[in-house]
Amino acid sequence: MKLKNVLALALTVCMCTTALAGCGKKDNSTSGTPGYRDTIVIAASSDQNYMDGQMNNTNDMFLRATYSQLVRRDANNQIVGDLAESWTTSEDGCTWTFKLKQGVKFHSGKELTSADVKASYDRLLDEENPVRYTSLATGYIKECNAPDPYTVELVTYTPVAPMLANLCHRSHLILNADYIEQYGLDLGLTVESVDGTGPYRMASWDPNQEMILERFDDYFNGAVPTKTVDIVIVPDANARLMALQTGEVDVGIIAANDIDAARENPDLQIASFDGIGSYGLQFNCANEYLSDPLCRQAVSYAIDRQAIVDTLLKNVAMGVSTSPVNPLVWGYNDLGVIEQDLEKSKELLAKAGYPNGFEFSIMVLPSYNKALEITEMVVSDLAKVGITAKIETVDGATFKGHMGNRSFPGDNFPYGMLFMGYGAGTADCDEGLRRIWTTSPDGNNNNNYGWYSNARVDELLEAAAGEMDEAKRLALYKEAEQSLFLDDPAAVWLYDSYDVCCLSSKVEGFKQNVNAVIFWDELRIAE
Amino acid sequence: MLKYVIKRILQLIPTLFLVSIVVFGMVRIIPGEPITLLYGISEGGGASQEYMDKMKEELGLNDPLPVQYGNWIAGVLKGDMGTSLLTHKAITDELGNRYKYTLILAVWGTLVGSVIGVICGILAAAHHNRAGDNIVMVISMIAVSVPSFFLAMLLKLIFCLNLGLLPSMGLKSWQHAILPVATLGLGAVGLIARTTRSSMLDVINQDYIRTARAYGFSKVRIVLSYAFKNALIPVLTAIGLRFGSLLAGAALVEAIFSINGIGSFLVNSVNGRDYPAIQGTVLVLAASFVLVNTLVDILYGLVDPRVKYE
Repeated sequence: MKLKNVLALALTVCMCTTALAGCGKKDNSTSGTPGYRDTIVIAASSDQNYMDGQMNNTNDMFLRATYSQLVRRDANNQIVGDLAESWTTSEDGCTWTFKLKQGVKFHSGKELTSADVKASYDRLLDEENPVRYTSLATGYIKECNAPDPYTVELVTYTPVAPMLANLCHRSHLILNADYIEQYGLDLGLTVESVDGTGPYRMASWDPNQEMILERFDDYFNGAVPTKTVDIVIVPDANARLMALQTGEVDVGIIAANDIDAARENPDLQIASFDGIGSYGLQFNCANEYLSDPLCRQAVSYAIDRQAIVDTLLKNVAMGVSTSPVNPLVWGYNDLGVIEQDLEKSKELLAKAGYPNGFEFSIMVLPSYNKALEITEMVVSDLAKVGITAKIETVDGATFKGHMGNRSFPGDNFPYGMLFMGYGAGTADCDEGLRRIWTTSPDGNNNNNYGWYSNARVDELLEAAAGEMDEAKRLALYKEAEQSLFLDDPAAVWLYDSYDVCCLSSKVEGFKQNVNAVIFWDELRIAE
Repeated sequence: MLKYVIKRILQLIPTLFLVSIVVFGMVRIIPGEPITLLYGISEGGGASQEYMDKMKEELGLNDPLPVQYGNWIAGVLKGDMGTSLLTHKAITDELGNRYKYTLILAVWGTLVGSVIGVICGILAAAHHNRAGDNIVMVISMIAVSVPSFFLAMLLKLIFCLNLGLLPSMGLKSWQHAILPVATLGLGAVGLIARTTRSSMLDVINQDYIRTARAYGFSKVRIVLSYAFKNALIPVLTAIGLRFGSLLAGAALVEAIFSINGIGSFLVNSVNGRDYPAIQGTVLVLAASFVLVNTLVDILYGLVDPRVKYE
C-alpha cells in the first residue's frame, strides 16, 4: 500500500511539472499606437528548416522579416533597391556595381558594410559549401569584390540578363560576416545565430510550433508599425480556418473550398494577390505515344480549360493559361487561350496514326489544389476523342522520387503525364523556362521532368539568358513560348493562380509580392 | 521480486533489438530516398547529381546495409541517434522538444480516461442490468466507436467556435490542454469503463462476495474494498496499453489542435523519408511502450498479492 502511495505521488509530481513546462503567457497588451494591437498572429502551414536564406529549402515566408538583400521585388512587382542605394552595369554587362545605403544596422548593433555582403557571397560561392548547390547564385557569378566599405561588385562570367531578378531570391539575403565566421553551417538554426538587417529580429523560436519576432527599432527603412509578430505553425487548413474564426489567428492561408464561406463572415476578409504560379499536366515526352508532337497537340486540343477553371477554381485562378508562364513573369507573351477543338484533336490523332486513340496513365499528387478533380475532368475530355487516360495517385515522396530519377529516357517512369505546378521563383522566364525545359548535354536536366527536348527551344532560351536588350529578349521568349505552348507542346497548362490569404477584418495594410513575401511597413491590426 | 524486475528489464533488450532491425529495414523498403527528396527538386533548381552522390557518400547511405545498421546502433548505444536530414538537428533534441507535449497529453489523457472510466465501470457493475448500467454502457460504446479526430473537431466546434470558451490550437497553458486531453481521455473512457465493468461482474458473482453480503457489509464497502481490488488487474492492463499507445503520440489529435508532438514529427519524417529520424522515433516509442507495459506487469504484484513472481 505504501509503495502505491509513493508511486501515486511521484506520478502527480511528474504530471504537474510536465504541465507547467508547457506553460507560457500570451502578451496581448496594447501600449503602442492607440487603437492598434501590439501583436499580430500569423498562422503558417509549416516552419522553415533554417533562418538563413542560403540554407533554407523549405519555405521562406519570414526570412525577409529578419534579413535584407541588395535588391528586392516590391509589392508592385518592380525590382527596387533594398540594401543597395543604386547600381550600374559595366559596358560588357559582366560587372554589377552596387552602392550600399549608409548607416544600416544589424540587430546586434553592428553597422553593415560591404565586408558583410562579400562574406555572404563568398560563402554562397564556396565550392566546398553545400549551400552552393541549392541556390540560384551559383554557376554564373564569378566573384564578389568590396572595393570600399559601401561599394560591392558582382562579377559574372558572361552577361546575365535576369541578374537583378535572381538577386531577389532568398539565397541572396545578406548575413553578418562575424556570424558566418562564428556559426558556420549552424547559422540560422537557433535564435542566437540569427542576425539580420530586416524590420524584425527573432525573439524566440520553438521550431514547428511558434516563432516570435520583435520590431527592430533601428531598421534602416524606419521602424514598422506592429511591435510583435507571433507566427504559429498550424499544419491543418481546417484548424487554421477555425483559429481565424475564433480570432486566435489574424492571418492565414485557408483551403480553396472555404474561401466563399470566409467572404461571408463579417469578422474575416479575403485578400487575393497575383501570384507567379501556373498549373497543368506535363507530358512525358519519352512515352511511346506522346513522344510524337502530334499526339501531344491532340491531347492539348481535347481539353476544355475554361470549363475546368469555371467549375473548380473560381477563387484561386487568375484565369486560363495563355502561355507557358504566368503573366507576371518577365518574358511572358500572351498566346491566347487554347480552346477545346475535338475535331482538330481527332484529325491530329489520325494524322499521327492513332485514329482510335491510345492509352496512358497520369500521375497525380493529390496535395496540389484540386489536382484530382481537375485531372478527372481532363480524363473525361480525353475520352471524347478516344484517348484512354488512367489516374494514378501517389504520395509526396513517391512523386519527388520520380522527379529525382533522371536517367534518360525515363525507363522507370511509367506515366504519360503528370500534374505539376510551375512557379518561376524569380518571376523571370530564365527561371520559369530555361531551368525547366532545356536539354542538358547528357540529356539529364534535373528539372526537365518530362524529358522534353527541342533544339530550337534550347537555343532560344540560352540566347535569352544572355541578351541584355529587353525588347530582343522578349522576342526570343515569344518564339520559345510558341513552341512550348502550341507547336511542340511540353505540357497542358491549365490555369494561373492567385495567392489567397484569409485575414481578420481588423487587419490593415497587408501586402504581398508575387513571391508571397509579406511587407511589414503598413501591416497592423486594429483593436 | 527484484530478480523478476531485473529479468523483465533484460527481456526488453531482445525486443528492442528486433524492433530496431525491423524499423531499419522497413524505412529502406519504402520507395523514395531522402537525399533526392531533400535536394533533387526545389524552387531554385535541384542540386546536381554529383552533389547528391557526395551527400549520400558523406551520410553513409552508400555503405552496405549491415554497416549502416551497425553504425546506427553503435551511435544509439552511446546516446547519439544521429542528425535529422530534414531539420539538421540532433534527433535526441528533436524528440526531447516534442516529448514534453506528448507527455502532457498522454499523462493527462490517461488519467482523465482512467478516473472517469473506472468510476463509470464500477457504477455500471453495481447497477448491473439496471438503467444506470445501460446508460453507462451506451455512452462507453459511443466513446469507443467515435474516431478521435471527429470528436476533436466536434469539441472544437462547440467549445472554441460556438461558445468561445477555449483556445483551439497550441499547448501554451492549461486551458489549451483541456480539449486535446478531453478528446484523448474520452477515447479511453469507453475501453476502461467496459473492462472495469466486465471484470467487476466476474468478481461480484463469486462466493466470497455473497458471503460478505450475508455478513451485512454495506454495499459501498463490498464494491470498493472487496470487489474492486480483485477486479483491478484487467483494468490496469487496459490503462497500461492506452498510456503506452498515447506515448507514441496521437498524430491526428496533434494535427487538429496544432500541437507539435511526437506523432506529427513521425508523420513528417516518414513523408520526407528522413531515415535517422524515423528509426530514432520508432525506437524511442517502442521502448516507452514496452517499458510502460513492464511497469504494469510489476504493478500487478503490488495490487494483487496472489500474483507471484518467479
